[in-house]
Amino acid sequence: MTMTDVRPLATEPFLLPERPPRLGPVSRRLLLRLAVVLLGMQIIGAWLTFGVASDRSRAAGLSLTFPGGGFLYGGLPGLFVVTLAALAIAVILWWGASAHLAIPIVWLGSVVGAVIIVDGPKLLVVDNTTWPWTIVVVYVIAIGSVASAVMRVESRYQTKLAKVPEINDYLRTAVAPTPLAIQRTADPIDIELLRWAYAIAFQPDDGLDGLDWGEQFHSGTQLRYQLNALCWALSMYAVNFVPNAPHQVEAALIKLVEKHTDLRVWSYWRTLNLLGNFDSNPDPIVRDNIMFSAFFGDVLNIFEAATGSTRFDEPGSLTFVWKDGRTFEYDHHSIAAAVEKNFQRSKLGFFPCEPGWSFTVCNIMGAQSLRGHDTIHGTNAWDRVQRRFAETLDNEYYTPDGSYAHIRSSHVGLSWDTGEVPGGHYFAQGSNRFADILPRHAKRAAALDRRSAAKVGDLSKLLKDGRLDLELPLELERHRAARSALGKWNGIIGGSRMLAEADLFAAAIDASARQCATGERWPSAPLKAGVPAIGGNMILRWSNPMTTGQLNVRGYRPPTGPVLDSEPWDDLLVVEARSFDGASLHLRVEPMDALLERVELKFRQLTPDAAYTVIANGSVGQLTADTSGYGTYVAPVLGPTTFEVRPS
Amino acid sequence: MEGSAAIRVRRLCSLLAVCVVVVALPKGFGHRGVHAVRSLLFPGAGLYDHRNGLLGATFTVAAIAATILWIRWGMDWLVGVVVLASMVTAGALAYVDDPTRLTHVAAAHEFPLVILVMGALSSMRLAWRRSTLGRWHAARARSLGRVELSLIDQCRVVSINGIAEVGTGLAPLELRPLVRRCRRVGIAARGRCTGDPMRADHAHVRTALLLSGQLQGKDLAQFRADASQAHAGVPASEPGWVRLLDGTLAACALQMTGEPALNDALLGARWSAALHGPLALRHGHRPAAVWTPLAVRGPRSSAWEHATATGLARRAGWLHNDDDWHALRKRALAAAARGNCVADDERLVAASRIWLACVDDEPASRILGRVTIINDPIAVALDTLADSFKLKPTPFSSNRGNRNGLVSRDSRTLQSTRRTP
Repeated sequence: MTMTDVRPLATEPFLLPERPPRLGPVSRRLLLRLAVVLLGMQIIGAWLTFGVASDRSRAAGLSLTFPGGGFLYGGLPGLFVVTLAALAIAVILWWGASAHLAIPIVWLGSVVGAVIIVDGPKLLVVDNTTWPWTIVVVYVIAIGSVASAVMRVESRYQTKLAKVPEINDYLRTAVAPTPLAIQRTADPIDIELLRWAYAIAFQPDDGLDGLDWGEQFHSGTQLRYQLNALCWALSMYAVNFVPNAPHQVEAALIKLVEKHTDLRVWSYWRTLNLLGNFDSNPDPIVRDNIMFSAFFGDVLNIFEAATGSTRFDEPGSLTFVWKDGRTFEYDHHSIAAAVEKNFQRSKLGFFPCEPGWSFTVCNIMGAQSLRGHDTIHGTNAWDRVQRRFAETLDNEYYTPDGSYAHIRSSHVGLSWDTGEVPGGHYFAQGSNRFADILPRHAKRAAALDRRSAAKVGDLSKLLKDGRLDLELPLELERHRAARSALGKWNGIIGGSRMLAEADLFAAAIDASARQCATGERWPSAPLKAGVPAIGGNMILRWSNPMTTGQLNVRGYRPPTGPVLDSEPWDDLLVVEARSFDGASLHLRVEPMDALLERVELKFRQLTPDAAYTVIANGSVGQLTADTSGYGTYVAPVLGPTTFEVRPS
Repeated sequence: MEGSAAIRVRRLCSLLAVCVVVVALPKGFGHRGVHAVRSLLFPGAGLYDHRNGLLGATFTVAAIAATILWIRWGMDWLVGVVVLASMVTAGALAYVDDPTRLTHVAAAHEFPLVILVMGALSSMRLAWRRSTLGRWHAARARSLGRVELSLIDQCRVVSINGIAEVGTGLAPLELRPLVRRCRRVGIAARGRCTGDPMRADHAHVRTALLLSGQLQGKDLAQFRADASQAHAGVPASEPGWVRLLDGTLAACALQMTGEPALNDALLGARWSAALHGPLALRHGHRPAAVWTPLAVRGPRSSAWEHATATGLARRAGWLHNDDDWHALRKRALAAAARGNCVADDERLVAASRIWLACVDDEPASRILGRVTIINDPIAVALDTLADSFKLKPTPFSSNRGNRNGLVSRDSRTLQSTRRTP
């Protein structure tokens, strides 16, 4: 057996602090800086409004007090509304495209505009009209806005703080269930998903067919995440289903990893870098962009841990070519080094995805990428980063109920709910949910997640003979282009796994397939959903018994027992190849397309000169290994075929 | 191409003639002469500062059009006619102004401005094709089947496939439209109204016919004779213009189909001299063509033509170093990054693969190998040629080989992408 030898991941959970600070030191400093700037603007605004007190100065002062306030003073409420609309767009651009100057430009633009226009001709009122009463209105709006924001933040803080005793009581008594270690057998949907993933991988190198296509900044159509998910899923398939026949899945993974270097996958970065950092360098790895570098680094870890391939350790093996021919040559090591360097130079402790925006989930992926690289290559980058990472997580991003803010501006220290995750907070994130990088955090987060997911366990009551007769409502996927139930099913499958509800886990997989299967093959997808949801489903299905977190900690282990070394890879689909006892091989194959009258299966790692019995769909044959431990067996594959190769 | 000494003499004479005219006209005709000279240096300029600005602009536009026709069809005489007409008109319509208000033209370099305008037009076209909108437009046009190869490009496909010694995948060249084109060009450029329109020049057409077995007997002998008489070793494409790509294809074809007794080595040496002479690499570029009477370098060659021609020349031994590859490498990688949506990019990637058969550049090979060449017929032909070079150790075979060995694109794509360890 080659896949369940895993070290324990966690020790004791730790309790929540009773009175955590509202902000960490770095965030406090950033917010203070913002407050000083805003206060300065208010002082200047007040001086212009009440000190200088001409029409123009009042218009300027009120626009400094609140964007567009000067227009209101000048009897131009329409322009005030336009300014608010522009401000809303600026906020979207600030968040969506890292246009950090968008809000200042609108704000200062409203100052300049108000000064120019206040004494000019007007449409609905007499020229030179001013509304002095709006001075009070503008100040009320300004004070109200600030007060509302502060109260909302404080209210949320107090609400969470009030839950701390109850949560700590729960944590003191919470008993973690024995983690599931299910050895799944590939079902028909698994096989169809495998075929589909291979079809995406083995299309021409520059092909991205089968992936959802759309904008590459924030929606659910980012090619990078889709490729990440496919790589994680196939890596887990390699580890859990075909450890004793790695060639086919390894070839597919190589193709998918290389697709990450396609310009369409990463060219978005130059725009963001230019807008957010005023840096025209398109290099997607060297600065920020953790949503690419860290995820890709983690993909490389998992790939290498699953297959043992060192292909991407070679210098220049991952070369990004910009549209003007500039090349950026990287490999597994240099990507990890770039991630570490970004961590080290970050003042906040986490470094940005889009310039100025540091996401918790992406930084967790960054930590995973260092941890996995250390595991495989014996380096200690994670050790150098870990302490500061944990401090940032626990001081800067922490909220009183044990959750972490999803996002923080590394320029102004603000967090907000981006709408990407419920409430803008979570207990754990990343593909490994702290399991590999911070085991104690993982244990507490798992306990808190189990508490939130208790209602998923109630679905167990609906099981009848191990079957869940349930159809979930369709919901819009993240990219808003299609509706599917698979996302919700993924939540139930993941929740049941977390709750260690083995029956519910299996039944949910079955029920999701019944509701979502299309019965179609490439170029159609086997499940009715977008690629992100299908990718998530594949990861959930195939991360058993070994998970990505466990793999990141374990690293690569060569398979024991006979290994299928070569076969007509283009014609034959290897569904399972596992050795449960280290001596025999359980092999399931089926034709990729046409039936195969004669297939030559070559094995290695046989006992030299030993005789083996091969049982193929009930018929018995013999195989004798040569002195090097190689042997060949010829058989037809006219449909799904199972081979049992055992020592005679 | 004439010998370099003869060219130098001719250029000197031309320059002297222009200088004489520039000096003599103002001396002889006074103010009218000055205007005529201005129009000599920039067609139409002699009319700009008077009340005939529109006429001046018309002459300028006519000069640009004439230059385009000169470059495309070899109508060199038309440029002369337009310049002469503009000079005469400027002189005839010149006003006698107050001499104190006349301004001296210290140095006039206006005629090159026409070339600059043309360059700007070309750059704008290139920028459009490179822009997001232009790429989308090109991809859409291609997907809707609106893109058709010109006759000359069809000839190039046939020639490239002929050198690769595979079938074209296209219908055999239809002679009638080719003859019609050659006749039109011959009439327009040289007034060849009678006789065989392909008796001279038209290297691209005749090369394609030669490599597809459609140029035989007397025509073939005439083609060889033309080549042996040409100083570049290959006939011109359009009268006066020896083109980088067509010349190289013609040289390859002549070398492949020549008999041992023929002066192949001499032919190669002449073409090699042209590649090192008027068609030489300068600042990373080669000209697309050279106007043989004065060895004037034409506009820059497109990158894919440059890569194809020099790749073939390197393979044939007519170039002795990899400077062209160093000049092209970054552009080729850029094209590979942009993908196969635009024909020029796809062609450049395919043409670069010809170079990769000559140089040891594994990183570039890996990047260029990722692009699927499947859309543009010229690119597909170039890719096939590059593949054939990988299989053949010798530069060019005299054995014409099997012309029916067309390789299916689909099967080749599968072979190259469904690769397993």
